[in-house]
Amino acid sequence: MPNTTRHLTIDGRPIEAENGMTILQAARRNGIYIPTLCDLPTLPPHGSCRLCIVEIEGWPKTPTACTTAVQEGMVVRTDTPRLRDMRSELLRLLLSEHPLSCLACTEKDHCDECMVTLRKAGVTTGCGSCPKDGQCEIQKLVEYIGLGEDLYPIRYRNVPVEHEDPFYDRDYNLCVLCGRCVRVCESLHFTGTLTYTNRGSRTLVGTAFGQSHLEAGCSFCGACVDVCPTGTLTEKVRKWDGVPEREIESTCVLCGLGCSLRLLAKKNKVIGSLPVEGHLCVKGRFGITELVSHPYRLASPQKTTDGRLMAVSWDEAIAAAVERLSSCPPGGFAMRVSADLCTEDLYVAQKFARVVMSTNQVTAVPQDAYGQGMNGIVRLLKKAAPLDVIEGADAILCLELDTRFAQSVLEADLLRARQRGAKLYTIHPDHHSLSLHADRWLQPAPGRTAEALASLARLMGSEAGGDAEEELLLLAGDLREAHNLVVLVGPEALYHPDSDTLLEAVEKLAQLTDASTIMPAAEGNLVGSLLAGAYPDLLPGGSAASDAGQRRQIGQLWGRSLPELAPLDEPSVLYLIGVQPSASGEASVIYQNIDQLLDGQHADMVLPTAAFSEVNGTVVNIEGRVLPLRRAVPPPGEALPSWQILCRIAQAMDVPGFDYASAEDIQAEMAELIAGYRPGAHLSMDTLTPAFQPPEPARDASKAAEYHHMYMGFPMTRRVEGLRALKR
Amino acid sequence: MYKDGYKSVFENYSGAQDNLISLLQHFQKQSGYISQECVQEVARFLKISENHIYGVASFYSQFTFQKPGKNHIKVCLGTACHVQDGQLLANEIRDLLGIQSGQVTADGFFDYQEVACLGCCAQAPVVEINGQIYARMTTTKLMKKLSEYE
Amino acid sequence: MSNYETLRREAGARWDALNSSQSPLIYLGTASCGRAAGAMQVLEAIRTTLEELGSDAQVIQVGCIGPCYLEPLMDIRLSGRPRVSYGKVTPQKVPRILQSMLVEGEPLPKLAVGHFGDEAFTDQTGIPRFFDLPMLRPQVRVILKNCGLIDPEDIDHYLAHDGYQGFVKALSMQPEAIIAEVQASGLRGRGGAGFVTGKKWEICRGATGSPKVLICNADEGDPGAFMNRSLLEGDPHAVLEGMLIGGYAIGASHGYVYIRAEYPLAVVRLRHAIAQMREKGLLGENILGSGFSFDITIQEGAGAFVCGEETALIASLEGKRGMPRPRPPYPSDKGFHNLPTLINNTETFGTIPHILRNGGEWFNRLGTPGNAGTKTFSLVGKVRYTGLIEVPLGTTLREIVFEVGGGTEKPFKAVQTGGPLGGCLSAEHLDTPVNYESMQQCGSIMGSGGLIVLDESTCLVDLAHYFLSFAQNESCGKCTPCRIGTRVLVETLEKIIHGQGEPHDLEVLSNVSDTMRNTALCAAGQAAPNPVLSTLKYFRSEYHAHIHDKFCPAAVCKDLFEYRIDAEKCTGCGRCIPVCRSEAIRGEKLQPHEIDVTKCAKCRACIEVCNFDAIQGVPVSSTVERLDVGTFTR
Repeated sequence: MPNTTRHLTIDGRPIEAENGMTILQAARRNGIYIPTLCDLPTLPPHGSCRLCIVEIEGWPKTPTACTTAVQEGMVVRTDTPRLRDMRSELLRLLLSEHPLSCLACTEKDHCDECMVTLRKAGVTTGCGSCPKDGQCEIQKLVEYIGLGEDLYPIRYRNVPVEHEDPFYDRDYNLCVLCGRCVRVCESLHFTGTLTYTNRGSRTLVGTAFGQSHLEAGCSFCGACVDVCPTGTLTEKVRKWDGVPEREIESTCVLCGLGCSLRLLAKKNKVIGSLPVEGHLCVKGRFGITELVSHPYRLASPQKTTDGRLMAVSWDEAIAAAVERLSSCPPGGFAMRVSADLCTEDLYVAQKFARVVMSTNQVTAVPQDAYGQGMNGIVRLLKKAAPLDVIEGADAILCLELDTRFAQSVLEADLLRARQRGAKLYTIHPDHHSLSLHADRWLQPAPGRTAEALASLARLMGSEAGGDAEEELLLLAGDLREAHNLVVLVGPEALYHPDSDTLLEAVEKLAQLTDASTIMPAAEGNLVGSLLAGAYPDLLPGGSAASDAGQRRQIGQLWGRSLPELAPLDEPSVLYLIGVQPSASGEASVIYQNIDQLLDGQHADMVLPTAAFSEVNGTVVNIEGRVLPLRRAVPPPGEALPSWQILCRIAQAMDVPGFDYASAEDIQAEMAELIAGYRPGAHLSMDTLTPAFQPPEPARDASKAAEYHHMYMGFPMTRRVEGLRALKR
Repeated sequence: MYKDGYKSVFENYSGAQDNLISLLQHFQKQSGYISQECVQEVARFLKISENHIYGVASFYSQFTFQKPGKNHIKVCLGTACHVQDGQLLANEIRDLLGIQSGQVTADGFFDYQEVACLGCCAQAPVVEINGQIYARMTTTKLMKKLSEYE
Repeated sequence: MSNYETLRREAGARWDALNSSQSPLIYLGTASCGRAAGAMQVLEAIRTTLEELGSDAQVIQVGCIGPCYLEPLMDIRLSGRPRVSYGKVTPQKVPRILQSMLVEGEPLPKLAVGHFGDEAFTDQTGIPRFFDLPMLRPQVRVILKNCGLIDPEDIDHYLAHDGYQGFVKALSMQPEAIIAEVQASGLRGRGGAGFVTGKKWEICRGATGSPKVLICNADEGDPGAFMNRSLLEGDPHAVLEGMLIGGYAIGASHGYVYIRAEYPLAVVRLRHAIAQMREKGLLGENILGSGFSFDITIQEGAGAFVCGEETALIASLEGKRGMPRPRPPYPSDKGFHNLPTLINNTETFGTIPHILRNGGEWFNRLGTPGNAGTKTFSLVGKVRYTGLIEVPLGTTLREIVFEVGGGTEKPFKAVQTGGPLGGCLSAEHLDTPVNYESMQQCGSIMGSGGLIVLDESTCLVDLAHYFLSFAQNESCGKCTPCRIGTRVLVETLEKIIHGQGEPHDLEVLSNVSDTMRNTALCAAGQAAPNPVLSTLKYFRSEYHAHIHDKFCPAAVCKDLFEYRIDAEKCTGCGRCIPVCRSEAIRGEKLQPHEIDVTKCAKCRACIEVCNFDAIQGVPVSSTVERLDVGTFTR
């Protein structure tokens, strides 16, 4: 299409660009550098820093490359003496409001060796101890553009550094007002937390009435920190770690959405986690570093000797485990696993139970958490819509979904849809992140959400209004008008004791309105645990354990006949992977986890395992996508991936079928049972069977909130300092 | 739904973001300043964050965030007033009241603002006290005028 | 259009009835400028006096007629006689004038400043014709035709003066023909940039996107300028009619007036006018049965100079911070909510009805080639006759300052044009004809029409500092050169003003100014250094005096002069002694007084009362001299 291509020359190079592109975009695409400060490729042009000025033949002034569209035959120059002068002048103006001892210090060449000025000049004066030293974009610009002789007198803003919020500090004395943080906050949260305040030379970035970010409704997604070119916004935990050595792309397992992330590593330590595109929620952005590098991480196997846990070698530990397990009758073994583990771990774990211990008693945590709701969850998952249905929705109904902290990535999608014209409805007993934006907010009494939803479903089913509340009638009316309804079931809704009622209502509603459903569950690998068959009632692939045909088929693959479902006796050996031991119990406990036991907990054996940042493997998100985990750093000390520990025990017990050399080997075997299982695949979850037996004792509803923010059985608030502040 | 005194105002507006400045002007006129509560209620009505509203309000010099004084003094510092010594009037008032532009005296009796132009340039310099503009002011006349308020 | 004929006939009849009425008519200028000068107190006095006299005289409040220096202006028309105008009326003078006029029929030629009748009346009374006053004679009044003569709150007055005729004529034309007529008039944007109005309309009409939006920019933010305020207060319908014509021509159905909130009276009059239009069927659905529908919303600005910039204005209308965005796209393509948007200045719209009524050709002949028509200016500062004036473009600065303005009391120094984004022109430019190009060539701009005349008592370094402080406070803060550049300029000028200037500072001033001019995002930022650049160019010696001699020749910069009493001039009248609150002046009666410079606060209270110009600013003396003078003996 000839009329969409534009031909121009940049610095003498003939260049082709698409119509509508800016000069800056065209230059970047062709590897031509034009200095910028305010521009971010992911945001619309802003044109505030003016550093990207260029000369265009026949144009009287020097327009900015970021805001000028390419035109046919344009002759652009990006680096002339005149431009250099003007840029240098602009930079000097900028530096008159940005402490620059990092550039001007006479001792800076020796800074690394001697650190003589480390304490003399505080952080705020911005010498070499500025947290952004070496990563600061101003430093790079000065290197490219150069400064003239005379600098303008510094005007130090002298505003207090804002330390009070969790996760990041804000030192607006260093701010150059490029506006990236304001714009990124606005684009993700639609009139979010950060805004420009005042005007003229008193312009600053801040919140309403100078509130803390916590008070101002910030979701701590950290997007502002990611884009800050200076040391103004700095992550507390990472502040002094300097430049990362490696970046490893992996997947976040802290909820079921499975966001891609970049793990930043330096030596053998994860020092940060950043989004690949868009943003992460507070857990993924700020929780991971502290979680996986916590001082309580286990580094070696331990065994209880004379009532005390003592470090032992792996050989000793394996031998001790074998001893316990061999003497355990099939009915006396139970295994409990976390749904935060990768699918490979979960698959090997259930195989271990079924093959080595000849029992179906392997239970992933969600079964305890969701109880009656388990079958409803499976039914919803079978029909789960991909997240991008939100883009095409004309109405969205959220059930107890608070996107402020966890799942804040969904908020951007929801609000973007609303901006586009979709209606947003929310049902939630409390004030929450969506109540401000929602077109309608139905506020049932606490614990009555399921009831309200059931009434709504009834209303939708019958034409008669009956004596329903007005709000409910209005909402039903709105939903009837929707052509493309998406229902989102928030993770907290799933923990209610009456979640089965709620889920039934959701199903009915979806059926009546032909709605798509999305269920952003809290567990990182809920779907993986179901597909791997990490439940007594479910076999790998998701078929019912009661299905003899399936049992036979799997038995053939494994070379061992599978046990029939049998009730659990009082277990004599309890194998816990990523699960906390309960305080009481007579059983002998094998505790396999990343962190030490909590005070007062008891286990006979403690086996150190790897966190998700330390393994290769896969998880399956709530859409059914198989997402890769990549090893960013080695596990601490002698810790091993969970599947490897299980395999070593099985091998020591002479059980064949546990000789995998890598996660890929396990994936290959899983693919035989779970159709199409490989990293990157988008699986159909249709094979999942709602075969769960109702749990015996009713669940403890009070634990719900805890389940929500757990990793490997530990509440994240116990591991991540800042998350405690969010709990209020 | 909305707090008292807001609902009846909101009824005259569509709820689009375009309404923001008019709404703020309404409340500024009504209470003499923009309170935190006002920002909260307007945020709920327009479905935009309080921070955003504050950002907009703090851009415009018409909006203030503290309770005004009982009497309002404005000194015009438009160009015509400046060249006719308006600055001297401003100095006098600042000295007399002991406050800067945009502040309120400790006893809450006066608030004081220096404004860009009141549009009465041909009568420069001018001072506005409680909405009444006084033309061709001098420091002496001003002191006399203010003494009427003591 | 028969509706319109009816409206007009009725209005004409009412107007004629008023003018032929037997009872006297009193016209009082109660625009903001008049009110500032005390018009409302005068109104009070008129009412009281009329009651006392038992007169049935009607009082009509009118807008500003122009010569604000004469405010408050009161005109009295006795049946069968011309309107006689009285200037600087105080409540004290009212009873005397009314008694004389209404009871005795005696026009008091000594108090009268002019009349609106013919020569014969002048011969008879010795009172000059109002429009023969030195300030008014050189003017050509097109836009201000009705200001001060009709009641702005009565739409019939406007209708009786050919009001809405231009609009009715436009309705009978094809939109393209209207645009052609406006193009033929040569009218250029009166907001200051001077873009050809007809061209702008054509672009906007041709832009894709619907509906189109029309905005009248009445955010008259230039300090020292009040043309729009006067027009809106004195003849609001002219602007509204212009908007109707514009809306019809570009195909818009909604218009906004974005007006400064600092102009409460103009807002009231606009609202009133709009309500009346609606009543008469001149606004709303199917106007005058033509099928054309149009509505107007008033949006008050919230105090931000930069909102005069069109993209910032649009942001503000959308409820956002008034920060300009890069252009293109221009508002005429993508403006308010991304719709094609026509933004014209108040005066531009105010001119349109006249063009439609009299033809583009007629308007074009009024000015000079390329700079057609007349333009209003607010002529203020140190001239004798301050006020709102209207002259054809191409009139020289000299004619404006010395004929219309009557010159200055002290020697003329400069004239500042174009508001804070303009520049200061010196005596050498006095013969420059005022037009868009010439002003730019001199390093200033036409701007919206503020003309501030400066004499020797104005310090231009201080004035540059004033404008840059204004620019610093009013910068939106978005782009680097404007946000920081203005601050650096202000700080450098502050140094100079406080006597700490170094020769190198002049280089800083011009470097930073150049950077701003070349790299700022919007026109406001690019033009903000103009006051510095123009004063550096034409009044460099003043900077030198401040930097090298540490002296402010105009006696404005407090640190760079001190007051002394000229013993030759001082008569020892003693008036200055009691007004000095620093108790710095001593002296015997009839003996020359002295100022203790160590006590003097330079508040100028003494200068205000001195009738002999005896107190003068001189260079700061050395410490020894100071002590010498400072030791008084009682």
